[in-house]
Amino acid sequence: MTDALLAVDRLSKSYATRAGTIKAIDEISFTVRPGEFLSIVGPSGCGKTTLLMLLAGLLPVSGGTVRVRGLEVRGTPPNMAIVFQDYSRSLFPWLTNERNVALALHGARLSKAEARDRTYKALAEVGLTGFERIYPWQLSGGMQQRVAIARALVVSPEVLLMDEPFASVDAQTRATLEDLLLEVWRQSKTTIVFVTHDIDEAVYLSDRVVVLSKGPSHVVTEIQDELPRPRDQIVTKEEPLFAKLRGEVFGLVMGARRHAAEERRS
Amino acid sequence: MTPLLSAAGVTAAILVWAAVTVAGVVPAQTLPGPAPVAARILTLLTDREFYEQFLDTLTTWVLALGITGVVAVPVGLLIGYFAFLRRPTELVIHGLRSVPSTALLPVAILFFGLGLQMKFAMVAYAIIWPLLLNTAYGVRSVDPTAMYVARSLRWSTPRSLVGVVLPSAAPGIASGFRIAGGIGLVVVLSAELLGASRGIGTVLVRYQQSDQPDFVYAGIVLVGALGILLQYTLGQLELRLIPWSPAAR
Amino acid sequence: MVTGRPLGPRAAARGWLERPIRVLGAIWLAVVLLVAWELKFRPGESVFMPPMSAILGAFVQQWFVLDPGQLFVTDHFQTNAVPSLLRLAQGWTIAAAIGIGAGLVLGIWRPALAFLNPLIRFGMSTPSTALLPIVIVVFGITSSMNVALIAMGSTWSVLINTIDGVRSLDPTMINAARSLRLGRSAFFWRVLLPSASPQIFAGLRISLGIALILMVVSELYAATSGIGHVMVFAKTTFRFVDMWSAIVFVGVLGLLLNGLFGLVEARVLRWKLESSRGAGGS
Repeated sequence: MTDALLAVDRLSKSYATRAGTIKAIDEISFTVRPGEFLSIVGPSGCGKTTLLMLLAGLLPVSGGTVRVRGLEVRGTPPNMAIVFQDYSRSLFPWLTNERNVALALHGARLSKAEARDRTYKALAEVGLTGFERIYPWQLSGGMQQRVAIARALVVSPEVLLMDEPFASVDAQTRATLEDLLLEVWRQSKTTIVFVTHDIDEAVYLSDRVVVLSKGPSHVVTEIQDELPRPRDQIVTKEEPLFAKLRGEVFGLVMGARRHAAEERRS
Repeated sequence: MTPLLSAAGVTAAILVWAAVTVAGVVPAQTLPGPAPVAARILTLLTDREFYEQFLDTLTTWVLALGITGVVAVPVGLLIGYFAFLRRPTELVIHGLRSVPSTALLPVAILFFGLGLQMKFAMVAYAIIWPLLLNTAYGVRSVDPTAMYVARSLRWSTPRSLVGVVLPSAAPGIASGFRIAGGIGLVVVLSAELLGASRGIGTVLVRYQQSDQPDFVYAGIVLVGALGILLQYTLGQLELRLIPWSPAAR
Repeated sequence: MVTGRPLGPRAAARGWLERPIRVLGAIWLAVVLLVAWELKFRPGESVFMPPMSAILGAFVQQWFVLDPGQLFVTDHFQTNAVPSLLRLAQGWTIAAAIGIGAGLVLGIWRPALAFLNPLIRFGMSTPSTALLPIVIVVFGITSSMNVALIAMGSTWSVLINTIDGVRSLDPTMINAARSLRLGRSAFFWRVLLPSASPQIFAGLRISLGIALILMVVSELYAATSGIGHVMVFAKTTFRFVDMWSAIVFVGVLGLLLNGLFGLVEARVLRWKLESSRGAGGS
């Protein structure tokens, strides 16, 4: 597709172990359009995180390509940013929130004033004004993840990859962060690839949901999500379409699990 | 790959050593080559008297470690368990351990002479602090949930100490023993180098004073080997006795 | 959340008494022991064990003097304590430099670590005091001998802890740094080094204690000046008060060094100490 921002073509990943070669990902292909919010779901252990690491250029591919704007990904491209699941280990504890976010601008050769400006703006976007000089570990989990999001946003990325970012926070905080993310996405018009195990979350947030099979994973199907925007935690989830989409995705994921379980038993 | 590299490293070191001595960069009196040292190692290993001295050192080490341990662990448990004891004893311990046991060697010699008693006293003084501190520290790292379980089962304090606190603190205690083992060997050797009547250290001194550097180096290699062996043994004991320690998992 | 314990009204009223009580609670055992010594060892009770008051008196008198011109220290201090401290400083600095430098290289470069591993294990298991005869053979009875022994003995702890610190760099942190596309230099100075620094400091602290021990040992064995020399000299000339005074000096020195080190560590590793103590929140 010519208007694809991110193009994944027959992507494969294998590992060599003492027991032989293990194929984690088996020829996954999909594309992401500019400004799209794409979720990736699948049964536990299907390699969602591995896939994200491949997209980010943090793991070498075994086969196929990942292209951003037509250029093959080798190491994280400059127009891409990543939010990891474990905020306590992806943010650096010896830096304040401000410094953590500013670190993302390290290679950008900005003046001190401009860097500071953009840092403060990014933290403001995630609602952390006043917390700039504080260390991440002095904050709650949800707030720490906001710092991580600010760090990703400060470089104004074209592609934002997120690896189960809200998995480690409680349900209420998760709802708040989901809405924050939607707002940030709406304002920045960036493209988001969002990996999650939470099917409700995927349906609530996305324009499109990619369902993966159990490992070695391939794409089972892609489901368009045409729930009206702006989305709302109460209203949207009361829509009949929400239940329908949710059921569809759930069935596919469970089906993939059942299929794999049957395979193992036979 | 790794074992190969390690073997290559040892070989390279020996070769460099040989090259340096052959090239005469350092006088032979200061650094004898690997060949004469290796020969002396063999000589020592087949020397009856060396074994007796070796055994003397080893016995002192084992005795001191064992007896001091038997005293230190219960005291350490109590210190760690009762809050009102913790801070004052830690202060005293930190103060006393700042005086290296080797500094007290003259005192020890005054009191105990030059024999086994003196060496025992020196080692005991040196290792009791890490044993106490590590035991107390092990107690403090006991999971409060485990204590709640004990209380919900209505265990008495002594029963809790033995049934929950001791096993939980065991990894900390084990690490205390490992540290004490290392320090103990250093102190025994110091005492022997600096005036004791028996032990490997006295052998080393004798060779040094009679200007036989190749024997001195040979002795050091053997002492180093002893150090490795003792640490390994302590590590293995820990694995067998305390399978739940993080080091073993 | 940022934590802090609020004081109840009654506790706040007792506040002015709280501090002295806490200090007392910490030092009562030390005081008891000192008093016990004083009571047990009256003058003449034992030749080897003078009363604590005599020891403390001699300690103050021998090492310190009320003269700003002399920097408050006696000549005795100048001729003996200063050389010892210099040797300690030189030896420990060398050990720290080698330990951290080599430790960083070996921590980053796996093959080199595998290559040198047996040698490192051998070195660290060999009790440093056993090297005493060797350094005497090589250096004779000079200050260099003391410095060499101190350096050789205390470098291992720094080396091993530095290697450990580098190797325990969290993989998630590495990925985060890579995703920020930090260059090699930025990665080293802003991620690797800060992450390894708590472990490095732990190694430095241990090596400081070892350095002090080796300083004393090397001077007990063979030296013409220094604190250890004073100890031995006092003992052979039966001046036991002087001997104990030197022992107290070493003890105080140890405490001071540890305390200073702790202050520096607390400042540099502020983030670590507080993050380990504080809760992460929900």
